[in-house]
Amino acid sequence: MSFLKSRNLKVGYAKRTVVEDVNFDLKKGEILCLLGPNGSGKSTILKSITDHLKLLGGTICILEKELNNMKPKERAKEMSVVLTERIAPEMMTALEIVSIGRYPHTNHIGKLNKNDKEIIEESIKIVNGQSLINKEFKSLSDGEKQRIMIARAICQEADTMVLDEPTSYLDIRYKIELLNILSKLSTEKKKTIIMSLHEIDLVSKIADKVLLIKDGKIFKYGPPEEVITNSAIEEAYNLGVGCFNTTLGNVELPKSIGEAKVFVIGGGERANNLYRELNKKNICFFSGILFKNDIAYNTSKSLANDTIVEESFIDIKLDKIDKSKEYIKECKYVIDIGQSLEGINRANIELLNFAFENCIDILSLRCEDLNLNEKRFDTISKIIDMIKIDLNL
Amino acid sequence: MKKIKTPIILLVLFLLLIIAIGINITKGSVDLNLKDIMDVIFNNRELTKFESNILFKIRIPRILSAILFGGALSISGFLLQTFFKNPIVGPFVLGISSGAKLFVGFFILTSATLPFLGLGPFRLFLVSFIGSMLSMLLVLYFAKSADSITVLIVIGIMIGYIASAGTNFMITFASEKNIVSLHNWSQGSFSGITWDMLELSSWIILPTVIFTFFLSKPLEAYLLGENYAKSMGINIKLFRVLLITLSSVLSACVTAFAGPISFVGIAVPHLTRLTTKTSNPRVLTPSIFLLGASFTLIADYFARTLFSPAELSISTVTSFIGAPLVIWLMANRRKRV
Repeated sequence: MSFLKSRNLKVGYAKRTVVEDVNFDLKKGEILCLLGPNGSGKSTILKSITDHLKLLGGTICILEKELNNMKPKERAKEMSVVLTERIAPEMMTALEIVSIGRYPHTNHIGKLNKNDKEIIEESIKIVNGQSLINKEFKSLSDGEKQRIMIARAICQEADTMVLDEPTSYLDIRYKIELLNILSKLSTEKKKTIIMSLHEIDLVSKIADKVLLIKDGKIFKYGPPEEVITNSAIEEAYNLGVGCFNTTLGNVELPKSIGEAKVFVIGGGERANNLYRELNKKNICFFSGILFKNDIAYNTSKSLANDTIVEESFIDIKLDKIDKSKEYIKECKYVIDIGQSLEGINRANIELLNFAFENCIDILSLRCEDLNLNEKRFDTISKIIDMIKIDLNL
Repeated sequence: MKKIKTPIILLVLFLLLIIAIGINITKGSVDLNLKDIMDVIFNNRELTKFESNILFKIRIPRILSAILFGGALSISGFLLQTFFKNPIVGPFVLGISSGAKLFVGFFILTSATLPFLGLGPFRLFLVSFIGSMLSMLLVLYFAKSADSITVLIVIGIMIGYIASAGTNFMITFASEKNIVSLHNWSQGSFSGITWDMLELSSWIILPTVIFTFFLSKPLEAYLLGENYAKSMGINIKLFRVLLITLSSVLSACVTAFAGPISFVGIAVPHLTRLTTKTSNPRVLTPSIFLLGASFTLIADYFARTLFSPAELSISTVTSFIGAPLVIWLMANRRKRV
């Protein structure tokens, strides 16, 4: 049964509608992530859900009870928030900030009873904030502040939490820590969580449902595996340049355009780095022969002028070898990454021999000598330097 | 951050107030002996006519008014600082006092009377109150479209200038006698406060301050900003109106009876926060009132005695102490965090 439900929300400002037809259904304990480019209206939707902006239309219900018909205090018991705004209250400890979260539950003067104190303590434990409680809030780091603000929201004891970009300002370690806390809250405490995130790669790891927003419309809605696809992301974010790989959560800058001067033989992690270095210096390249399961495959697809690919775990077919030889003839250099040349990789030794016969410079990162008149290097940057000088770049 | 225990804070501030009262009771153009006064209280000694006149006609009303008005101004400044989330606002900065002065000036300078205003202390209070509220409402009207607190404060200062210009305009055409009485009023002084005035102002100030104390819970939540406060169930619109009304009532009442007194409203809340190291309104409200009272008492002591028999205006002293204090506190703020 759905717990939190929105129907045809229309959000925005008196004279300007920002997003229309926002519909979602969440079960208790589910996490909904809002995703979309800057200015697409993620914050506007969240502000309207939390009633910081008046809804222009539609309804939000928790267990069939409409949120906006509730009294402010009742509403506060149903929904707590963590906002993007950074607060800097003077002379307040982290503990005091968290305690304020008990507001809707305390008496008229705000006295904390034993039960309140236990809940505050537990909330702080959930965010691992025990060591912070007596420090001044202003002196905490961004990550610590964010955890304290989440503890504050937790001790408000509302079943729904709304967070506006909780990971901004945070470095990767804090991001992971924070999402881990939220994930635990949803599974262990059955909190229903609605939040906006910027990191597409993290969304699929935490969300149960995703709202992808584009140009004032819900572009896609559903579970992350259906919503977050390469094409959907590229369209929603209008990625004319660069590319985002949803499988790996990997971003590449736009590839350089021009005639390929280099053929890179071999894959693996080192190839990944080499592709990026070449691309940074505007040196265009071909790559091959890679298997589809090679970790360099996606990067090469994004950056190389062309990539010669073979299906995984089979012998390389002849047409792929011929195609590679054609490319090698067009190039000035062949770079040997130094991968094994045995088993199904045998084809690559054929390519190196071909380059040697056609008098194309072979630059090798391999530890041993192949007697193909190759120049050997121990680092990628030395190869790049050499090519740069050679090509007058 | 090390927190000081609440009872200790209140005890120390209370002792400070007692000391300030002690100094003010005994010192003046005629010095009384503290032991003699104690004898009256504890050993049933009869006061001489001379002593009784000094104490009950001059010093005690003056001490009580300094306590009441100093406390009220400080609370007023505290409410404004909470509302604007800015430590340098006070009734003065936001044009509230200038608005009061404009209205009081209008009635003093033109000798105009309105039948429904009646006479006596209540008339001056009403006029000053209306002036304060109007200038505050004007600031609030612009508050809706101002996108930052800085803009709002500049607007407040500008409204203050306009009100002062209005007052100066009237001064140009006023009689000398009226100008002098406005000037005397606007210097701010606790001399000439009568028991009647004290009674009236305590009826206004004490309930307002007590009410403020009972707003501690929303005041605390408000420290996290309006958006968080709203998410916890505070009716923001109502609360804003409450803050401004309470603050204006307090500063209007003081301004009406003692004239505009500068810097108490800005300096004392700030000083209290920094010395008590807390923002908890349940501790802060009584502390600010106590410290405001002591601060004003000590300032008044200097005003009376420094160049005796000439008496300085209270604002002269509060500004001399208050302004450098604020500068020093602001400049050293980073170091203490």
